[in-house]
Amino acid sequence: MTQKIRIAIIGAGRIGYVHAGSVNDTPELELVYVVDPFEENAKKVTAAFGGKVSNDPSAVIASGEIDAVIIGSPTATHIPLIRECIAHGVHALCEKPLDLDINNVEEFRAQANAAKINITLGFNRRQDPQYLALKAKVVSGTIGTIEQVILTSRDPGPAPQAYIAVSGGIFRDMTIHDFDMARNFVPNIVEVTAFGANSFCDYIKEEGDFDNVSVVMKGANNELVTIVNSRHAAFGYDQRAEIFGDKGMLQISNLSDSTVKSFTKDSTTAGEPFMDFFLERYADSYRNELKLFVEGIKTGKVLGSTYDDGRAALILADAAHESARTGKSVKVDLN
Amino acid sequence: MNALPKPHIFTAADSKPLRWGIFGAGWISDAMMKTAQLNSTQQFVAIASRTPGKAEAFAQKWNLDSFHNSYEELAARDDIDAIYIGTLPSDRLEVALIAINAGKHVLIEKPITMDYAEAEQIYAAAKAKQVLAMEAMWTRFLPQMDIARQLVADGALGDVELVVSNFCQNNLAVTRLFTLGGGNPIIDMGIYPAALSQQFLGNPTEIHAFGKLHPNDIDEETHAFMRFANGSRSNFVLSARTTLPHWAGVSGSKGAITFGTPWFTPSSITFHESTFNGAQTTWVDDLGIPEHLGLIYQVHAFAQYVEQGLLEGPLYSHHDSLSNIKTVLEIGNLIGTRYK
Repeated sequence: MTQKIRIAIIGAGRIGYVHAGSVNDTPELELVYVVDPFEENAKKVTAAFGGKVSNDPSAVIASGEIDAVIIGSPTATHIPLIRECIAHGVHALCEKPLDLDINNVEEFRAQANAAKINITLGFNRRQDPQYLALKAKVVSGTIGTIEQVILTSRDPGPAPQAYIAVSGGIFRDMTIHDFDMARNFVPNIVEVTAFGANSFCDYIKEEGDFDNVSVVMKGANNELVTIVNSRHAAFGYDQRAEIFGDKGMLQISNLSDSTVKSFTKDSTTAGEPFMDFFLERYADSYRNELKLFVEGIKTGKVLGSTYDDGRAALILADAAHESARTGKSVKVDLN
Repeated sequence: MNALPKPHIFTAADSKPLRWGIFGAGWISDAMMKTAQLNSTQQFVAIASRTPGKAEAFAQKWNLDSFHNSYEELAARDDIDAIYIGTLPSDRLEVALIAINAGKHVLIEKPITMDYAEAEQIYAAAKAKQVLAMEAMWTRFLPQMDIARQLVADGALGDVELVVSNFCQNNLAVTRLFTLGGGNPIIDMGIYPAALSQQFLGNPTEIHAFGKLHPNDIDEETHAFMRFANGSRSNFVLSARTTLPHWAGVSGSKGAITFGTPWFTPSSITFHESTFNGAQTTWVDDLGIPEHLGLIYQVHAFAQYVEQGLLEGPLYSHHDSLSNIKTVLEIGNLIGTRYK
């Protein structure tokens, strides 16, 4: 039997907890450290899944006791931690967004792409079974040449004000997933137009951010991508996609916990509520993402999203941010 | 041209001294006190600030008769004719109304507000109270600008059709400029180039702009392009993150003028013939009132307007002020800046 891959989880928030569960479920992985500035957070994770507690990510990366880290700490720490991982030959699976400042991403790009370690970006939705099936159909030519992509993402309700204040704005925080998903089907996007509105949430407006946005983007081969986001939806977490090509259309819709349908005097064919929220809806994707990361470490390839995918999503987010503020269409170069 | 026309200079002798109070004990009020005591017979006698201790310290520093920790208290005094308002841009509506409603004439630091409707409200209140209200666009009152206006009026430039200027000053360390309500560079600094263009060309009918934003979406640098009703053009670069000599030029069909640097403080003015390497004639400001000491010219003009019973400054009218606020706000919107 080959040796287990020793893992540290940096950031013991809700996403860190999910990753720890996935690590625990994967026989070839061993959870060695859980790192968080607040020991109580880390202890919650180690109590459930084992491992040692630390509050010093640099010491853990340099300890020689681990082979890979899963970075789920605040965004500003992502690039500095990856830099330390490179120095100590530790593989890194890093949550999105890579950074909020594209200058930091560009500055580090050459070093990241030349690094011997595996750097995988946590754009988990690509690894969701529904989206994997969608991608497989597109790749097999079911709908011919892609002409349009329509992505709808609506959260059940807005994040708290303190979160919004440091989020970098809806495009960099929330739409970033859709930018990456758009590139899953239309990798080379060349132009971005976005609108932002304040429809319902006063504190989001107070923070200078939007709660309601639409983005239209053009691909190099004349594909048009439409993204619709809202920070709320009365009926729950709304995650849908539609790909339209010259030979047909593919759709995926929302998932419910069960397929029970009710028929009453008020309504017919009413389904169960949609899965709420992303940890539930995309639970499989986190496991798949980790599987790909491990597979990548073993084969020496990045099989999930790459550093450059993280960079491209941030460039698109910045372009949308600019477009929504200026009312102008923004040309981008993702190369 | 052998020599440029002599400038009309607004001097202390033009009018009787007013008794002034100051609202706000910050940097600009300090600059105003310095030049008032050096270069004027206008009497600045009292200071008010809401920040505990600041008014008292300011009064001591400048040897003023009195200080107040409330604007209302100073405004209520019978022995004060006019108030110079040097508070933060975001406060100016509230603070100006305190002075105006107490019947005082007001010289309000630029930008008069960060909002067009608020500026209108200030001017409407001043008209209703029959007091003079003027935005402190001091550059208009400098001797070199008077020479420029004479040259244009005399036809030396022919038809004026181009104004180009820059105001690139690394002010990244001035946290106020990158704090919501602190003025935003496009308003606080951009009002200078906007007012320069407006002085020679009027109000723009078409504006294009792009820029660079701070991480919090407040503007850092703006490139603005404007067209005017008669087809004339203007552009400026306004930056709070890079530094270049502050240069400005005005060109017409027959000749051009350039100002020395910085163009918006006392410097110099040069008339250029329009032929390549043509003759130049320069007037250098050696009046001994350099840099921000030049704030005093507008004060002398103001005192003169009060004596004449005017409710607006002819050299910087309510219309001029409102037009320029409108222009900079629109430019800011075009580059996506955040005002609040």
